[in-house]
Amino acid sequence: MESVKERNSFEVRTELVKVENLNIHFKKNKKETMAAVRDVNFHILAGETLAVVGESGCGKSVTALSIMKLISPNDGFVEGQIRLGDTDLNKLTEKQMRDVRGNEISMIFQEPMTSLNPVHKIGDQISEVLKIHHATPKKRLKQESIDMLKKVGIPRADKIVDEYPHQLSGGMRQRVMIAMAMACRPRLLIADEPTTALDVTIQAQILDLMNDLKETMNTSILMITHDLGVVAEVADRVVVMYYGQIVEEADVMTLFKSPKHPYTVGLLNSIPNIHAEEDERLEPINGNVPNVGAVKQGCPFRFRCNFAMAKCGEENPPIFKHGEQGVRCWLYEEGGAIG
Amino acid sequence: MTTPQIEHPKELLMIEEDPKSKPYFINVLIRLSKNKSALLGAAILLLFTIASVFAPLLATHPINEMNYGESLAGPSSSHFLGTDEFGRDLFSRILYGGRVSLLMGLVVVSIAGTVGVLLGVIAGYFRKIDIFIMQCVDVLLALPSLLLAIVIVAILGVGLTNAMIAVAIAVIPSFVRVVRGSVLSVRESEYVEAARALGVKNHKIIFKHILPNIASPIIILATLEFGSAILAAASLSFLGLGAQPPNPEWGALVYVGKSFLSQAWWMTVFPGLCIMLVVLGFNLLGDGLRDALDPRLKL
Amino acid sequence: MSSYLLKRVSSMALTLFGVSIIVFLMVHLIPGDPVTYILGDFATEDAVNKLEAQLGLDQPLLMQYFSYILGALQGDLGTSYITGYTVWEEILNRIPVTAQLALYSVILGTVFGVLLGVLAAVKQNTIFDRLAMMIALVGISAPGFWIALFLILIFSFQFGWFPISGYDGIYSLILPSVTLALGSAGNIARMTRSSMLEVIRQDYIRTAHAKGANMYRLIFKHSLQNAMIPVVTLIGLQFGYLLAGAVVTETVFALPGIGNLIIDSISTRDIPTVQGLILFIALTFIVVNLLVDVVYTMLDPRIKYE
Repeated sequence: MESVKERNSFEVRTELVKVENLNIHFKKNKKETMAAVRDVNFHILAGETLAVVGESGCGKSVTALSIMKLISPNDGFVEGQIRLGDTDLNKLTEKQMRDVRGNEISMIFQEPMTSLNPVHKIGDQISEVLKIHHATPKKRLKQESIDMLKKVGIPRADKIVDEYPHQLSGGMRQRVMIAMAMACRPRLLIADEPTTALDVTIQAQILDLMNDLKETMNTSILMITHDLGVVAEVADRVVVMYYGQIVEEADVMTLFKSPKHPYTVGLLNSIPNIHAEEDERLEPINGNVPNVGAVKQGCPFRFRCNFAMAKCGEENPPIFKHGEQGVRCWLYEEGGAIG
Repeated sequence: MTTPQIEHPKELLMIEEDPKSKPYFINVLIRLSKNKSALLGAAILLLFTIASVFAPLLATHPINEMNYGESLAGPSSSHFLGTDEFGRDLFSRILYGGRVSLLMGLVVVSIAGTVGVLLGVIAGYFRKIDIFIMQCVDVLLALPSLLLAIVIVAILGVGLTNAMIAVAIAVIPSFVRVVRGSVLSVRESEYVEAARALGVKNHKIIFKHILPNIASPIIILATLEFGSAILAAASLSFLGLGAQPPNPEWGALVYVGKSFLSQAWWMTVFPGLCIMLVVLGFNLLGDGLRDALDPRLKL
Repeated sequence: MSSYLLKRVSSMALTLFGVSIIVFLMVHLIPGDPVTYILGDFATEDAVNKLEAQLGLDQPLLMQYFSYILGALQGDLGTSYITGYTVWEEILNRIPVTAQLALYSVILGTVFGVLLGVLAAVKQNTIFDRLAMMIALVGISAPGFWIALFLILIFSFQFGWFPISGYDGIYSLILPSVTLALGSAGNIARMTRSSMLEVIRQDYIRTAHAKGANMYRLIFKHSLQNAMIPVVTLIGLQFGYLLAGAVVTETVFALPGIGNLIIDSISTRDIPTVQGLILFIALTFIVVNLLVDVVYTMLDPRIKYE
């Protein structure tokens, strides 16, 4: 595991996380299951930010939770490989996984208002991670918490450390969540819509903070978001998901300049652009993501797609590779290598 | 991109049609019938109701027939649950006692329910009287209800009827509190606001809009209180304040049985077991009703 | 906090005032003449008049109430017609047994109830859950007097471990405490379960999970304190039921406590004692619920009374 960090110093970016053939099934009832995530493959390089984009219900949050192994066996099960360095997380026992959570991989969530325990002091919640994973002496715990709070830009850190979550604003609480997540200097930070619940001005601050910390701590980030503005701000590479599948992957510049999949195009067209022509109108994508299990065959996006062909109804396309860019659409069959 | 457009098959987007909408109470019954513990509760209550109704047919002996030769005899094939100190058949006495106990519960819930709903609606709807009624309710709730019932029996005098009245009075405050709370929330709803804005008369609003909408909590509370009423009435009888021996009311049977505990455990165990089962039945059914009617209700 | 406390105490006083009126009226409605009871049926009219004057019973009811409430405010609850002791002395005599009984059963009921509820919530929808909830419901549904007799039957008659009745130190309070605890444990277990299930779903539990906390830490450090907030209210309310239940339990076990005294005083028409005892119980109940509010602030830092 140490070798990964060493190699980073040589500026050779190694794969930190590699997810292969990820399938997540949820229990519908006692007998049936349904696939919420199907055949997902992606990797995250050390020190890189990968954004996973899509509407709600497309399986992006579930993917994030599966990396943390936070999907309860009562709800469903996860198939495939989730490698962190040389370890396949999916094969770890719950006990082994506890050493990974909050230590090597940590996670922040969408709702800073409810994600902190209301009855524990801020300092105790931060130092808890250190207590669980590092044998930090009791006397040091408070000071370490204060240091972390300072690192995430919280003023009066020595006072805040003794306060309770309800005494802080949403932005401050998200900073606390980040402090908690970064306390053990994890190799991967998973951020599930970390700015969605925040004011726009605060959003930018939080994203800046995450970028800074990524640089100083050399942490990779998996950013789950529906907001392409966030993607533009932080991502190195982007994976677009639809109905539990990856439909397009590309580096961030390529994705914004030459999006290929009609869904990606639709997403980009539905955000306002300040440089747009005056009479140019926003084009929202009609309809919704189908419920899990609703589409029996063919491409699940075809119902909302302006370019749908007969073939789309018959067979779900594979991912066609066009250089580094991959796209799951029959329109790009020609000249693309199946990836 | 000149790909021909195809029709979007709408039915493919539709996931599941809502099951054919059935009348509300049928849906409630369906939900209730899937709840095993509610069914168990209903079955227990059905069994005891049948046993009480058909007590004359099911009883193996006349309940007051004394037979000193067989006094304090344990359970046997001729006396399923044994006999008491006078040699009377306990099984038959318990059957008849069930009539008394269930009837007591019914009377208490009817009285307390009627008065409680009335006061609760008045307090919740006509806010001017609210403070006064609720202050009274607070005062009554500051006294444990069994204690209140004991004092009331002391005033009215010992006996079955008075015990029922006492328990009913002691139960009223909890009805008032629940009904008032429900009325308050319904009162603020748009349709009641609209009816008031249209100048609909108060009594019409109460009977047409408010009462039907607070039926669920009332039904649930009545079911749960039915059980506690039987429990409280039995406790009064056990203290010698309610039904008096030789009345075979279950609490009274235990009261007598207590004196013969070391010689005839059945005299205590079986009537008490019946009380527990019936109260358990009401609690199970009440819980099931709450889950089926109004899962968020906290009672 | 202090202004909140002031508000609470004044509302408490109002409630207690209401209780005093109701109790006074009710107790005077109890049929039977204490004078006849004390002097017997064949007392001379002279003696009756003299005693009535001595007890203040010749005054109009309103006057009697005022003199009673004035006395009560100064801590004078009157004198027992029967024993000649002041009501305070009577209460102080009897309180040790009842207080111990209430304390033990609250502790037993809370510990047992919370454990059962946590177990049921953690093992939701398993056989443990169903079993735990069935035990809880049986505890709630079984009449206290019956549980008491059942325990006597098994542990006193069968095994001979405990005395059947009477008070002889803590030993004789074990069965009564268990009797009372069973009912409240059932209620507490049900409340704990539903409250725990609510808390387990919360985002902050997911956060704790993501931090690498183990099951023990998740349950006892993160969930329980939050889940206990509504349970504490219930424990406060249970205290009222315990006081009432003590009447029955003390009767069964023949314990010289408050509950037993109430039944005795009612049957002897000892008006000052009945009155004093009921006021005392109401006061205790109200004070306990005030204490519950204080416990709240310790459990939930969001609650600040103002």
